[in-house]
Amino acid sequence: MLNLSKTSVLMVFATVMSFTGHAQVAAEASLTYNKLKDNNVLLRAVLTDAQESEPLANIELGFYSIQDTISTSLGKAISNEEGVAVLQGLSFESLLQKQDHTFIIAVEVLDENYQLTSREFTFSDVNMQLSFDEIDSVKQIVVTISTWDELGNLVPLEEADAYLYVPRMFSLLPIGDVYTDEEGQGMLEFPTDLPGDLNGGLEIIAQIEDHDEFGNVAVSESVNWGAPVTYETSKLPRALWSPDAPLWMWITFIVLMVGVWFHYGWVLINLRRIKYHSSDSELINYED
Amino acid sequence: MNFKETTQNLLKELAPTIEKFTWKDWLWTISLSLVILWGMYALYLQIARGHEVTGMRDNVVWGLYVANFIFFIGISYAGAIISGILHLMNLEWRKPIIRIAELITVIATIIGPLYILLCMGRLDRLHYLFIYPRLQSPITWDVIAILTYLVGSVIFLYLTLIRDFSILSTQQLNIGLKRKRIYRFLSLGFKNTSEQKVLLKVSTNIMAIIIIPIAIVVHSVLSWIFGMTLRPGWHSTIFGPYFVLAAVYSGTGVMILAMYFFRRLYGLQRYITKKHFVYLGYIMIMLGAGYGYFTFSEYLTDWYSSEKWNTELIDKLFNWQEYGGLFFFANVAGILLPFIVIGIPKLRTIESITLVSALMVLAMWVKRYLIVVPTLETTLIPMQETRPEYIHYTATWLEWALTFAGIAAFILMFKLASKFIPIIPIWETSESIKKKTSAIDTNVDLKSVTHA
Amino acid sequence: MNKSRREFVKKGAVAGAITAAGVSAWLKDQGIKEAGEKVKLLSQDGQLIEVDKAFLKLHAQANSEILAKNTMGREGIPGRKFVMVVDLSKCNNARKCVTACQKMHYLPEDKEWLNVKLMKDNEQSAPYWFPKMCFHCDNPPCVKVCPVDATFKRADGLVLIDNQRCIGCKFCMAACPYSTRVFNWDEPDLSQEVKDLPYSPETSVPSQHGTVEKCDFCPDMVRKGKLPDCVTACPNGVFYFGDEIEDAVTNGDETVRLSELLRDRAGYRFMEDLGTKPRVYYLPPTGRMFPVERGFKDLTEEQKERYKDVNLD
Repeated sequence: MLNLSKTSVLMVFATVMSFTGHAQVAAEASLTYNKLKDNNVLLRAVLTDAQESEPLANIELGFYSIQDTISTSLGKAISNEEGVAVLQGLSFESLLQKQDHTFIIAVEVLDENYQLTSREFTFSDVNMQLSFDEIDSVKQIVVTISTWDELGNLVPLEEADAYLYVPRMFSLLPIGDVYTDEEGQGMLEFPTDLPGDLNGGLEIIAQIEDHDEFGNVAVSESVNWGAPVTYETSKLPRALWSPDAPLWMWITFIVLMVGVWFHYGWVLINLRRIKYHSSDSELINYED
Repeated sequence: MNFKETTQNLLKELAPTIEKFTWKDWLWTISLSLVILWGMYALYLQIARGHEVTGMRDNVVWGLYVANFIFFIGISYAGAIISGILHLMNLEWRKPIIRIAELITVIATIIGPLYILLCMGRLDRLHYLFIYPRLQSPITWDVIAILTYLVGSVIFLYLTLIRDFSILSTQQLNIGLKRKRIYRFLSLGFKNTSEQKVLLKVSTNIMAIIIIPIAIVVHSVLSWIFGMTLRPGWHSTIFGPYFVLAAVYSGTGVMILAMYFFRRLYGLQRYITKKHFVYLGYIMIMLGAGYGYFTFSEYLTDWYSSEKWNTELIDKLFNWQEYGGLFFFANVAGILLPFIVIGIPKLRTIESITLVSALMVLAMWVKRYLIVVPTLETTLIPMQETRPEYIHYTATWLEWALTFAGIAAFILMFKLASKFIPIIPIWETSESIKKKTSAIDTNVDLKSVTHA
Repeated sequence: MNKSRREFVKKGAVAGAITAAGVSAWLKDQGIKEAGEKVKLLSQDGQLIEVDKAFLKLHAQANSEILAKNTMGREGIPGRKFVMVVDLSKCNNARKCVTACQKMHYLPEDKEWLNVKLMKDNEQSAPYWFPKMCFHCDNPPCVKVCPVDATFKRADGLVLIDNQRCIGCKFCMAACPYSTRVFNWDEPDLSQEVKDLPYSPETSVPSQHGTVEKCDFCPDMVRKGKLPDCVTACPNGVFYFGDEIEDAVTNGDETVRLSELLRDRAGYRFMEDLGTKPRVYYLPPTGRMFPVERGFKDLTEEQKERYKDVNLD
């Protein structure tokens, strides 16, 4: 396994040129392992041309979990225009793990025009927990991160970064990050005025990001630390800009209309009465 | 002589216009119909191809049509002022001209709103105005107010016609039986019995009073279509009264034109005299003074406040390259000229009063155009536009065709109405003649009428 | 296309009960030509399924038909108050927002619901690029004057137009002080495919002759939790979009608290004194990322011509 940089963790490049058969295109793959907050796993592979580094689109990739000699298929995905193939909806339990909670995932190109023998990527599982302390109205989030030793014992993870977010409608709002001490703990003061839901409830997500060994790992907890929000219901007030006109407007309108049409009606009734009071004589009375 | 003889003599004089449809009448009808047909062709093109055939575009969304709309609703005020106010003041000299005034009102109130229809992108959804109305919209106010006004004006016109219908249905006239029957039906069996006399008088008074506030409301809500927006030159608190005054003013001008027209056409010199022109001229310059005062006040305050967009608008109006010429004409012909001509006794003739009225009416039309178009060309955010038709409004021939068609329709309806009902109210004019005082007042050579 | 099939798809889409294999077989059954292109979808029970693209389109249609039928389009997304922040310091008139918007709403090139002005407030101050869209005012002058409730304000802050209600009086256009609205002066030039799309005030597609339209903040995208197209299209992250109640906005790259952004960058609303209460905030063009001249780089001659009156010195 080759570590390239902190940010391109676990991107292992493997170039294998084919010397046999018809001309196959050499391909490279990188894999990002994401353990989502609900213990679901999302695998994201990027497939590129080995020579030009151009993304390879519409190629089917197979994903496998490997332990010793056992290989289980996890699923298949087709790369998109950016060469990205995503496999999601996996449960973490479906990955075969060693005693020290490490596991191997392999990627294979299922297209005979491309050459990429099964590439293997090794990751370790990590245990991250969120707890909430509230002392004298100071709200603190405590992130505890631990990992497993070779014998399978839980040990604190030192000097690890975890980023904290609150999910909003379109994206995650960062609220800060923690750096773990020798006990594997990091603390962050929670802002006092962040809106939650109607009861102030909100979700907090802690994430280890682009880690060499652990990939992306997220956990989430709900807590009632937000400021409760109040918002108008869908009923709009009476206003000039809403469907319902202000009352004074209706009153003015009705008074005017009733006033005018009442008089029209009066006149029309008078016209009927004029007809009613007509005399039988054929002649008009010209006298005053 | 008695009152009956007076009416019979008057009827005899007016009868030919009702009895016969001369070749001259045909000529009028046909030539006016041709103009209307031209407009109908333009309308057909506009409906078939869409509003892109007009000069209106995204910045100047309203153009000639809206200017015409304000103009016609404006002149409809002739009736309100003459029949309403002069009726209440009980001025005898008004009597020969009330019919003309009321006809102007009804016809202009029918034609004006048609221009709003021309402006609508989806005529097929016109009924939405009634099934999904929003009370907050000045357009809703307008629809309701204009319909109410139209109904009121028709009632008023009808009230003053009942007695004439009665005369027409009982006197000897060279007309078909069918028409006679219509007149009889419309006369409501009016025989001037004491009850009928009172009922008619009460009704006329009610309408004379109520028509004044309605007229004011109609033109106020019309002005508020502009006043309720955040646009320079429109968003003004005096817009309501300004429009009302401008409307009465232009209505008086059209009244004088109509008087001149019918006087010449039907030889009514005996009834419509110089006195009528001069008196209406006096009313006109009084209103003109008020209108001029509002105009001065409006532009002076905009100029002083020096708000960015107001200044931009004022600059356009005072710039000879842009609207300077039209603005100059609107104010000189629309305010100053009537003062000079009617104010100086030597210049005061029927012809000169008619001429300045014609110029004034034209100037008032230009003024409406200047209210609508330059403001829409003055956007708050820079236009930054390259399409010339989006920057400057230029009316297309279709819009002009429909404008002239509207004027033609106005004249034609007037003309046709005068063939059906006496353009001079017989009963009321006879009443005037009967009263000695009013006889002197109207300066009519009564002998020729009474001893004919 | 016959009606019963549509009905079937609609019902199927609503129930979400169609399986990949089922859809495929059914599509064949119904004689729909498969596009051949397969798309991966996450089904409701968490399974990744593969469906033909032809189905997706039907699904989208069915969806917006549902939108059009019930009153969702008028009521808005519950509990939200959408807001946009435009960072003037990052705009270099790349016009990607404009073209993305036109693509999304099938607009011709000369119709811009969103455009970029070159502003220069006075002789002394420097010119800057100013993207201008509908401000979705909380006190909207356009909605006040609509006689038939065709343009309306929703509880989630959006001002939308129902072009099946609009009578084309253009009063709203005269009333909008920002000249945001555009009118279909003639029959819009749309492909039959687009014309057949079921209309909803949330999609604003297809345009209709004789009616008014404008920027809608892409509520059909927003409903799915996706950002409006102009936001994602901007290469410089100029537009931030979000929910005021949640106090967060994002430009796709970074997510920030709305209150902090406005406080730290002195956010303001355009022409605040008009009292229209826009839902769009601007961040002043201080500490700019690009010289203003950069905005002329990729413009056509016609586009350059638009800005000829602005003194760049």
